[in-house]
Parts: sequence; structure tokens; C-alpha cells
Amino acid sequence: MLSYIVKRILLMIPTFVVISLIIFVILNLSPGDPGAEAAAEGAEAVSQEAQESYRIFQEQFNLDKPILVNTRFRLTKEDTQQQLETLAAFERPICPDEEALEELEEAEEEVEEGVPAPDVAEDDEDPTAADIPDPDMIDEDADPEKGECTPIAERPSSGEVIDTQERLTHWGDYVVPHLIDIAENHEHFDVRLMALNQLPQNARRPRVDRADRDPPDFVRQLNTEISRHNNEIRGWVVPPPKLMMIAEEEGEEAAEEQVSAMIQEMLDEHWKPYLDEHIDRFEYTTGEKVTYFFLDTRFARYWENLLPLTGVTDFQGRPFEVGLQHIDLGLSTVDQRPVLTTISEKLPYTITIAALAMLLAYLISVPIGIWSAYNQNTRRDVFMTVVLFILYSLPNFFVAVLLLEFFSVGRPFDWFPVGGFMGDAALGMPVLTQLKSIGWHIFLPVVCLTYPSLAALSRYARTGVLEVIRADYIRTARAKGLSEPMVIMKHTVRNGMIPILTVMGTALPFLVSGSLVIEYIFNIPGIGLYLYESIFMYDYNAIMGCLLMSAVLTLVGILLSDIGYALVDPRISFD
Amino acid sequence: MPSPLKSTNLLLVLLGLIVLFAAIGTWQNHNIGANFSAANQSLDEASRTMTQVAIQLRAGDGIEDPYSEALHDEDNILHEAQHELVDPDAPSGGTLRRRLGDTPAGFNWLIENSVDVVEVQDYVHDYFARPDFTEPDNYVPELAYKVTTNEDYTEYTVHLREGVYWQTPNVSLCDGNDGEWLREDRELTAEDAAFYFEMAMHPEVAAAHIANYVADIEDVEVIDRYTFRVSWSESVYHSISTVLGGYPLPKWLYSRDVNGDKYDEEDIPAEFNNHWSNDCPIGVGPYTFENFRASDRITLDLNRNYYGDIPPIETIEYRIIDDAEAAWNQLLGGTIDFLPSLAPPRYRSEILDGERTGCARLRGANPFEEGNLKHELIDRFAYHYIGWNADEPLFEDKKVRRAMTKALNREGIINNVFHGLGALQTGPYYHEHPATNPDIEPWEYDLDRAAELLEEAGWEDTTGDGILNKEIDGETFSFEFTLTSYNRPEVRSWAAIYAEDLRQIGIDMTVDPVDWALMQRRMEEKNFDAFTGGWGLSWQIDLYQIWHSSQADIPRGSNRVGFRNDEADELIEELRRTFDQDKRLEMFHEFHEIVHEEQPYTFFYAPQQVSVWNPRLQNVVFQKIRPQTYSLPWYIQE
Repeated sequence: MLSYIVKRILLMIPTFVVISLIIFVILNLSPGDPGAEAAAEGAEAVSQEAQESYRIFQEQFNLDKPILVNTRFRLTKEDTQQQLETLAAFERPICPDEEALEELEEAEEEVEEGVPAPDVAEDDEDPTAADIPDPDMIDEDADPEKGECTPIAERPSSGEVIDTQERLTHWGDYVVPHLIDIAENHEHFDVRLMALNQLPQNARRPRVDRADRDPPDFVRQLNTEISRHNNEIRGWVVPPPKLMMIAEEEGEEAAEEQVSAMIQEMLDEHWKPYLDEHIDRFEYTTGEKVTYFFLDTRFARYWENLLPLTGVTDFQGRPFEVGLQHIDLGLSTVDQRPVLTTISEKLPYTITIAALAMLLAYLISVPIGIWSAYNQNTRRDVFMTVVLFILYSLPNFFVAVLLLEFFSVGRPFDWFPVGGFMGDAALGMPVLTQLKSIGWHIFLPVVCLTYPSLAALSRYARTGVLEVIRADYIRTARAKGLSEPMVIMKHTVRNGMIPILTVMGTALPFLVSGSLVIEYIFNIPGIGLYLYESIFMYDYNAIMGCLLMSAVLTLVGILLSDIGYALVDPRISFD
Repeated sequence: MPSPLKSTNLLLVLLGLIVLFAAIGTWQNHNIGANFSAANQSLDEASRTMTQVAIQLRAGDGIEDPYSEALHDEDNILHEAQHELVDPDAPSGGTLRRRLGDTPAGFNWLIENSVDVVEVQDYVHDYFARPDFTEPDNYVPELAYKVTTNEDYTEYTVHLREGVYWQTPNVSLCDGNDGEWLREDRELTAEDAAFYFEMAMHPEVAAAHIANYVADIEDVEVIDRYTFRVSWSESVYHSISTVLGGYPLPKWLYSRDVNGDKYDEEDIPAEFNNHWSNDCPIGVGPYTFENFRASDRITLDLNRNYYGDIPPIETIEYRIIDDAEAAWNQLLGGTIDFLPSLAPPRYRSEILDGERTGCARLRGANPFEEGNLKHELIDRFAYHYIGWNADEPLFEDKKVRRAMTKALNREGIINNVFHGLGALQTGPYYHEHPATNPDIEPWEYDLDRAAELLEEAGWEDTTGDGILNKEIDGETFSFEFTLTSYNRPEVRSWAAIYAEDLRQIGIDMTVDPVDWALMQRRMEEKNFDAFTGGWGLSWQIDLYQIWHSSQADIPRGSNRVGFRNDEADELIEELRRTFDQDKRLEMFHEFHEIVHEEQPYTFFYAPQQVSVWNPRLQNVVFQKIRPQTYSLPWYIQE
């Protein structure tokens, strides 16, 4: 028996990992991002570019990491260069393509004459590749050979630019040496400048263990060090306005020369020594590569929350920088509070209601089942079955709304409160008053959660009793003269209830997952409502937390019901 | 071996005993609690009387605010408020319970800028100055009593009131360690004001919504304990609202960790985003942030040390109720007093069709007829539109866009789909703002005229399939497009009406309802033919972000429709530098005319909402600008 249990528990671990993997991947592949502000009414705030905040957000929640495996240490200079060139191509003016230019002029004339303008970009092989540019962006003196302009057909779309920018930033410090190399050696001046200005972004180090509001000293020191590092490297750039300023004063060529010199100076003075100093951050041994392959990913980072790895110090400040001292489920991406804290705040509400509903369901349906079994196939039995199935087929969210309308808002009755878990007047009142208020509030929700399960449970009870009612030992019991109640209670029911007892185990997750709809309608601040809100806000960590908790309890519940079987029924053994 | 029945009985007896003990324990607990809460109540009573006495004393002392003198200074750009918000004779006390739809994400004033958080901030904190509720172009003093500026508005000198003290954070809300340092008296100083600008401008701080406005600030200098100066590198109009609409942040709090130990100076910006005090915010405003429970409620209590007029309502409770229907039920049941926005179907069934006849009488009397509830229509500061991608060949011609507008039955949809809860929109401003050009007549719903316009633009049904065609650059286009629309029931209904109308004039529109996150992505990538959108509005208008042509060519720019108009660009740039109100209005009118002609958007409607309240709330007045449902003047009469 014991070895069986141990085996089962050990099996639960890989099962749990697979479950969490599946949930995690599905969540992360769903379209849309967490952190995108939901606009309830469909009206956006006119806020300015949110990119910087969004980057901080992504870094904090590891959304800049690949989902399952990480091969970024294999990125080459060419990969990096390609991204930068795409970005540069977008910034450059449009080439004076003779044909296009002519058409454009025609178009402009026609516009002036009031004739609709033909589409300039229409001649391209791929019309989506280029937005139709603003005529002002065409630089008529630029030479495409020297890379001073972008032919219109090659101009990246803004979708591409957004993706490229994001990709480059997400690559983080894996591409820092390449960026330095490009900033020094690339043939085009604007790519060099772009590489240099990208560097502080990529070389910055993320802070560790933000969830802990009172971190131990060594974490604090590490964070201070990281802040200092980030603040320092942020200044090692040549801001583009400077370029424009010089260009305005002294002409473009002079500006290019001067800024080139400034780039070189920045590199020699800061970035090259920086690279030498931190070289072990940017060169990877085979062991490190294997580690990063699996561990520097969103999934592994998520597990970091679940499995505290105390004492595993960083090498290069990446996978497990600091051992965490506590198990948690990560921070909510919406309110940045620890998910575990929120869940434990909400759990009591859900458990109270679910446990009451379960208890009531058993208390009602077991006697009904026994009664039906003893009246098998009579009209009474058929009537009861029909009633139960009618109840079963009424969706409880619908019934909930009707109940509220009839019994709560005074149309025609106002016997029950309309929602919430406890009245305000009861807050800070003596215990009994509070209990009474809670009972009053949760009566309707409990009713709504109870009645749908009556049908199934009473069927279980009925079948269970029917199975034993014709057994030989019942006949024996009657034959030896036991009173009928004794026969029923002791011999029939006790043996007939074995199946229903085991169903109880599988109902365990119901205790904590709560009911999304019922909690929403009655405004009970439980787990169900939390999950509902989190789904709408794309709160990955909260959704993961709620689902994982249900998963664990499902696994435990199945195990418990199996053990229960063996305990109650001596005919079953696992040895 | 004991018989199974006996052991079962033993178990039962044990269970019974446990229940009995639990019951006795609860009873004892109950008695203690009863005494305790009785004591508590009398304490509450006492403190309430104290406050009333204090308020009456203050109202009766007849001393003029020592700072009102400063308003007569020539160079002070602040004005005197037109109306007093708080009536000193209003009966004080009571709890206002109002609905909130969602749990706010946090209460860091600088980082969270959702409408809900800003509303709470308006109660808990004060600004340097705020737009006058009746004359919103004027700023009236709050924390600053005097602000002076140089000629071209590049240097603002702000003088703060003395003797304003920070509230004490309720650290039990944010797992803070309760320490003596929290309760020390902390006066508001210019350091705190400078700290606000420092944080807003720092790249590590996630305050993107304000980052562009403060980008042109050159320097913020603390002159003395109560005075600071903000210097701008350029003369821009939004500098006024950026400086005056700012507010101090408690540096003494944000520079310390949960134990009250100071952070390293370099750490402050990074810690700021996630600071431990984000759930127990403080301010210097008329209310204190007393309690917060996610998905449940936010409680604000009167700040007895407030420097200004103390409002009559003692406690404001925001009840967080997700479901609009549940909120309405609670209002009927009397558990909340104020519903800022009634669900439109309820507006139809309870107010528009409120008369109870026939079977409906069974459902009881109408609460509005009986006087059990009151309601008022207020404007929501936003407008909705359909954006046409002018970079697509279909919509690059303004005649086509105008035809699209003329094919949209705006009046009909507002009256029937939105139950009349909207005002027709013709331009990018709030429709009652003076910037709205009074000469502009909205394009009327006229399918025949729309068809004519399309014909003028060269669209004709050459293939005979009922859909218009046009040859553009040797390629034949047929007029088929997809409307990317926000997935809400009312959007789906009006889009269906619109599609039907368009079909009649030979245009095939497919409606693609998507979620917000996906919609945002498509708009950012300009991956759409047309989309349904909405913009929040404010009294201060800055057209640059949405309408300037430069914003059409940057990734993630807000000029998603590709509106490029030289004349408009010039106006927008000029408006940024012009401070003279009359000239500004003239330019706003001109700009309005341009967008009206060009129709880069089909301007649709400005939504309205129905606020409903229980008449125990008295003097429920609404303000002209946000926060419209500011409850400072309201009072409660049981």
C-alpha cells in the first residue's frame, strides 16, 4: 500500500510538469500580450508612446525570453546586422527612383486638379512591403549605391520595424559583442550610430527578485550594483538630435564626420573596456550553453517561482541569479502583487461556498438516491428522476439571475441581499451577527451551486444501493431477523456508498476553483471571479496560478479517492 | 475487536462534542465582540462630533485664506475659482457608496493613469493647480498659490503653500513594517515637487503616458523650501498643463524601503515602479486612503488635517462590482448609493420605457417614477470614429471617405442602437468645447449623394456583380474591404446596419470583430482597411500626436490612418507655440474645417452615460470637466 502511494506521488510530479507545460505554452501562444491596456468602452487614452514602459514590463515578467528553448547564444554578427539594417532602411529617405518619382509628380498634379491620385506603390511586387511614403521623405540627391537612401520597394513596413526593434531588444546581452563590432566596423554611418545607441539597451542587466519587498542584504546590494551599472551605461551614446544640430550648422558631411569621431571615442573610451572587463558575460562555455538552452527561457523562469533554488548563485548574472527563499506563483502582470497572496486572500470565500454546496448536495442527494433505489421503477421514482433531470438541465447562471430578480431586488420579494459575501453593517460586528450576515448573503449562490449536482450524485447513490440490495448477505441479514432499518442503514447503505465516497475525491478541485459565473453574478470576491478577471486582462501568472492549483488538487483528489477505495472496501488492495 | 457500530457511535459522539465546544466558543467570542463593537461605536460617534465642531469652528472663524491675496498679483497666472465647491452649511457625515467596475492595478499616482485611479487620486491628492470647473481654461490654486512665468513660457516659478502635511500611509494594506518614522510630521516641500518631475523624466520609471510631455523640460530647480522653478528648452503650449497639472510625490517615502532605511540614490527610480507603498498611497488631499481590498472595495476617509475646505461626506466607499447588472441590482437593493453609469439596456427598460402597464406592473413600481432613484445624462469625455486607411488605394480619395460618412446613418444609430446616449461628433474636440467650429454642419445621411460622390471619384460597377469597380494603375479593384471592429455587442449591431447600407450603394464591407489586444496590434502595424476606434478627450487639446503627418511614418505612431496635410501640419505646429487664446480658437476652428473636408475619420459620436443615484444623496452636481462625478459638494441626508 505504502509503496503504491509513493509510486503514485512520484508519478504525479512528471504529470504536473506536463500539465503546467501545456497550460504555459497555450497561454503564451495566445494572440495578444499581457500588459496591453484593456479599453473597456473602446476608447483609448491619448497617451504617448508606451514603448519604454512596455520594455520595463516585459523585462520584469521575462516576456523578452523565448518560451521553451533558448538558442540566442548562437546569434551571429550577421543576424544582428540584418536587424539594424532593416531599422536603418526605415529611417533613411526614399530613393529618387526615376519612374516612381515621375508618377509621384503626376499624382501630385492630378491631386491638385482634383483627379484621384493613382497608387504610387502599386508597381511593387509586394505592395504591402511599403507604406506609401510621404512625398517629403524622398531625398532627390541621395545615392542608393552609398546606402544613403532606401529604394521604395525595399522599405520595411511599420509592422516589420516594430518586430525588428522588439527582436533586437529581446536578444539582450547575447548580441552585445556583435553590436560593438558593428558600431566600429559597419560601412554605413547610420547603422554604426544605431548600433551604438542600441548598446545600453542590450547591455543592461535586469534587477533580481522584485517580488520580495524586504529582500535580504545581498539581494539589495546586487540590485544597487545593477542600478548603478544601468545608469552608468545609459550615458554612453551619441543622441541623434546632436547629429541634426551639427548637420544644421555645418552641413551633413561635416556632421557625419564629427559624429563618426564621437562614436569611435565612445567605443574606445567606454564600450571596448567594458567588453574586456565583462568578457565572461559574453563568452559561453559548453556547460553554460546547455544551461542557457533550457534555463534562460520563460518556462524555466516561471518554474523559478515554484521551485526555490536557494543558494544557486549566478554565473554571469543570468539563470538563477539569486536563490529565492520562498515558494510563490510569481507576480500578477496586472497589479504586480504576488499571485499567491491574492489567491490565499480569496480562497476562504470560494472554499466556504463550495464546501457548503458540496455538503448540501450530498446531504440531499444520498437520501434521495436510497429512497429511489427502494422504490425502483415505481411512479415515485420516475417522477423524482424527471424532476432531478429538469433541474440538471437548467443552466445555473440563468437561474442565478432569475433568483436575484425575484428574491433580491424587490420584484416582487427582497428577502436576500443582492450580492457580496457579507453585509457592510456586519463588518466589525460580533461573530454571530457576522455569521448570520454571511449565511444570508451566500444562500442564493449556494443554492445555485448545489442543485445541478443533485441529479448525478443521487444516481450514483441509487446505483450503489441497487447493486447491494440483491446481494446474498442482505437476504441473510433479513433472514436472521434484523429489523428493516438496521438492514438498510448498516448493511445496505454502508456497502452501497462506496462509489459515492470515491466521487468525493474528484470533487476536491471544485473546492478551490470556484465557479466563474456564479461568483461573477453574485459579486463574490473568490477565486472564480479572480480567474475571470485575469483572463480578460491577459494576466498569465494569475491564470497559471489558479489553473495549477486546480491541477494539483485534481491529482491529489484522484489519489485520495483511490486510497479511499482500498480503505473502505477490503476487497480492493493495491499490493 | 470492537464492533464497527460501536466505533461509529464513538465517532459520532466525538463529533457532537466538537460541534458543541465550537458553538460555546463562538458564543463567548460573540459576547466579547458585542461589547467591543459597542465601545467602538461610541468612539466613532465621539470623533464625528469632534470633526463637526472643528469644521464649524473653521467656517466660523471668518479668517480669509492668507494666500488669496496672491491672486491679485499681476504676474500670477492662476485665477480665482468661480464657484466654491463645498457648501459650509451642508450637513456633514455619512458614507457615500459608489460603484467601480474593475479593481485598479495599483495606486502609484505617476505610473497608473487609468480613469479609475485618477479619480481616487483626485480625492486623496491635490495638484499644484487645477482647471476651474466652470471656466476650464483658467487654472485655480491648489497646492501652489502663485505661479509666475516669463514671456515665452519657458520658465515657471511655482510658490507652494506652507504648512501642508503628508498623510500617514496605512501600512497594513501594503505589508509595510509599521515604524515610528511613518508617523512623523512631514511637511510638503519643493523637494517633493521636484521629485515628481525627476521621476516622470527618468527612463527607468514606467510613466510613459507623461514621458513625451516632460521631454522638453530642461531643468527643475528647487529655489527654497517652498519654491521651485521649471525651465523648458522650448516654448510649447502644453508646458502650462504639464507644470500646473503636476503634483508632488513624497520623496521621503519613495526613497526608503519597507523598514524605513534609505535606498541608494541610484536605486530610487528602479524601485519606484514597484515600490512597497503602491498599495497604501498617500497624498495631501481632502480624503485619506483608508482601506483597499481587491475585487471588493476601496475606502476613503475624510482627512481631518486638510488645508482646504473640508467636504461634508465622511467616508467614500468604492464598491468594486464587475457585473453592471449586479451593480444595478445593488442600487435597487440600497446597498450602493451612486451608479456612475447605468447599462444602456437598463436605461431603455427603466427610464425610456419606464411606464409600467399591463403585465409589467407585476414587476413592481418604477423606481424613477416613485422618486426612489434619480438620474442625469452626462457626457463622457471621448468620441468614437471609423478610421480609413488613407494609405490604401480604396480610401486615399477624400471623396470616397466623405461618401463613406454620408452612408453611415449616425443619427439613427445613436437613437436606436445607443438608446440616444450619444451626441453626433464632427471633429476631434469635445463637442461643447469652444474649439468646435460652430459653422460646421455635419454630413447628412444620404445614400444617393454618397453614390454620386463615389461615381465622381471614378467608381463604377463595370462587371455587373453589384459591387463598384475602379481601375487604379492598370489593376481593377472592386470595392470590398474589412472593417476591423472592437468586439462589443453594440459595435456589432451598428456595423451590421452600416454594412447593409453600404451594400445598397455597391460596397462590400466585411466586419471582423476582434479583441482589444489583437486590435491594438493590427492598428500598430497598420494592418487594416478600416477600423472602429475611440479617443479619450481632455479639455486641453494637443493635436500633434494624432494628426501630425510625422506621426504617420513612425512605427506605433497614433496617426494610424495616414493623415498627411501640409496645411494641417502647419496649424498643429503653430498651435504648439501659440499662447493667445483667441488665436488658438481661430486655428482650432480652421483645423476642424480641414478634417471635416478631408474626413480621415468618419467622426461618429461622443458617448454619454446615465448616472443614477439614491435621493439620500443631496446636491448631486456634475462638473463640466473630469472628474465629472466629483463628490466634494454632495452631502447625505437620511
